[in-house]
Amino acid sequence: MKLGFVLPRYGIEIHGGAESAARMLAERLAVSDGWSAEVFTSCAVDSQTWADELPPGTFDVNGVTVHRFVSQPKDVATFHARSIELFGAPSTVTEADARAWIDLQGPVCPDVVDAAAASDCALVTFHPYLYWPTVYGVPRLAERAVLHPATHDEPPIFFPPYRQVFESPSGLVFWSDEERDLAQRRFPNITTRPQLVLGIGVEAEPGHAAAARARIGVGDRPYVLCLGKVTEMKGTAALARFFARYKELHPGPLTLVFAGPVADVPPEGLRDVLVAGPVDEETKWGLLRGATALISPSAYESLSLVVLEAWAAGIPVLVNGLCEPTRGHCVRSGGGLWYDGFASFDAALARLAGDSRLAAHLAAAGRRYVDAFYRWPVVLERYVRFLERVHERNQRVAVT
Amino acid sequence: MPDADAASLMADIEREVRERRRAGQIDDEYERELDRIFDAVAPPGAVGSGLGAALMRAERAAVIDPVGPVASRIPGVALLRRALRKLMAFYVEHVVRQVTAFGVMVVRAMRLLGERVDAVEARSPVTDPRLVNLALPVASDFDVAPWFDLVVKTLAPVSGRVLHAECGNGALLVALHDAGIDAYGIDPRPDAAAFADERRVEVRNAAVIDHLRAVPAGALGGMVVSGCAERLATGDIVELVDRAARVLAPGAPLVVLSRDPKGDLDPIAADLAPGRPLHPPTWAFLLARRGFELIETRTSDKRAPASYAVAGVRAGS
Repeated sequence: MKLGFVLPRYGIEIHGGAESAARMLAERLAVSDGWSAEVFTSCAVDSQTWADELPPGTFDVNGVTVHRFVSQPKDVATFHARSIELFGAPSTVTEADARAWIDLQGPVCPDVVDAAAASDCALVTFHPYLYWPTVYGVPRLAERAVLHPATHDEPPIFFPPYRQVFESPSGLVFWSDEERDLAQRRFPNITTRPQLVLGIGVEAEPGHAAAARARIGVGDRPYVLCLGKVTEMKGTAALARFFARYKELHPGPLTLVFAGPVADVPPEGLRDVLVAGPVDEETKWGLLRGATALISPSAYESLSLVVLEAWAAGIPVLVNGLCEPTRGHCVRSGGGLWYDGFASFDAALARLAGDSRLAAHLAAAGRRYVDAFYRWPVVLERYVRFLERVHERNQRVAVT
Repeated sequence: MPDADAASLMADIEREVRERRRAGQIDDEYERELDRIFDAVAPPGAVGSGLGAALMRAERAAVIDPVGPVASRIPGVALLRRALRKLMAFYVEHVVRQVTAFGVMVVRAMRLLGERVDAVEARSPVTDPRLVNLALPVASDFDVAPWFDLVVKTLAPVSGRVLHAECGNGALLVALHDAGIDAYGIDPRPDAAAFADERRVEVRNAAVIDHLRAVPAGALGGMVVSGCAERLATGDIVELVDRAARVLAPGAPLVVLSRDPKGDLDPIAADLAPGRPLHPPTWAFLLARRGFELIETRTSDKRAPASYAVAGVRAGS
């Protein structure tokens, strides 16, 4: 069976959560018996501008056929101004205003949707719900469409056009139970639709702690790691301040390391905060292995791959308690703690940093959870079976 | 390290925080400032991991800052705002003190109420979180295979999706699928999903009543209830029938499969579940009460354990 993937951007240069997850699925499906994968996407790398940085055309990316199309330029300033206006009362936004905002957000790329519709893919998956190709592609390919929404509790989910996006595909795939619950609360009509809570596969990759330490210059100090984009919306500024206060209360060598692309530089002059910037995969895994714990400060995650990677690397996690999916992982696995404010952050981090038996116990529980539900063979098998069921159901419906 | 789950570790942390706050070991003003930064990037309306966390956030929100921002890009406006703030400070601070005191008292009263609710919940097997969260093994379900023919025959003519709640090992879903019926299952027990994957059927990890609450009116073409039918508390059974009547389309059948209470009960469920199997006439009564028609009861003395099926059709076909 041939499976299509429609994404706003795609490639090994792209580090976004939904895009990385889709690429991992596509690359693994492409080498599975009886399956092939084809990607339809823009030429963009940067999700802020959607500038055509990659050439248009058809390419092979790690064994997957990728069709790239140019998109219309994005008016970033107008988009941000309009977002501020609409996000204040998202449930009152009209269909016309929402569609105008979706056009501003982009990437406006009709060729992507046309190519996916004209393809011979048995099913076409769309990732994530938010962007133009999904908004216009899912209703058009309805019976062939499978939506991976990556639903977040954010203002646009209340915009009218997204109802059709969620309600018209023949199947939905969620990263977590919490994401599914959120989507079903917002769009009850999807409750009885074929759906799957899939998650994503995790495979620990090579990377030595000592080499990674040397590369970012943390020396032999113990550290907690925040991995991913450094931006205020992901809670990194709050984390940096929390950590600085923690260090005032608990003096010692513990350091907070931010590793990932930096959009908003954390406040300067904070004690023992090291911003390493983007790191390669080997360094990332080395940093994970050498860390006391991973901290996920974001309240907006639908899965959080880095939390699963931390468990695969054998360390416990501390997550933002307002983020239901990451907190849900911790509750189900017993592999981490969470915080809802500074006081609980302080108490939880003191335990993780000061009680190595507790940290090891949590890490082991997290690893068992990853082994049971988030290893690639398990994930891929479940995904393939789901797609086969959806396809078979479509054929039955077509016959009747 | 003793076997401590994350939730009990977090409860321990919450207790520690409360004690430190009571003992004055936390710099309230500085912490509030930090928490404001944290709250600024939180999803609107997020309450966190439970009542304790929600109350903590409510307590933070109850403390009102009387010093409003004065910055402005328009020349002179900042100066004007600063002057107004100074002139009105005596009044604003007076009001803020009262509102803050009220807010803090309300949160404290809710905390006391929460503690009492916790104590009440812990004294009832129906609400005790230690029992509610205890998943009984799928293997303890009775074998519904002898009822496959009846269920398939009842559901074969339906249009629309069929729900099997709770679907256990998914065997009935396979039979429905083989008969060309578009069915999915739900089961709150983690091991049910693993069985379902092996059998290649669609199963969601969800509690029956929670799921039915989310399903729109008239969305289902048919429904089978087993497993939970003999374990739910009586009030939940009544709600289940009410909700089934709402989510089933007019003319859609509902089939209930259960052990007979006069026969052998599953020992684990008998000891730990909040409810017991009902007698067949009780199901028939509940279905009739909610407007189901053509209600039929079949019992099977020859099958072990003794079991029965009660089927009805949603009125309005």
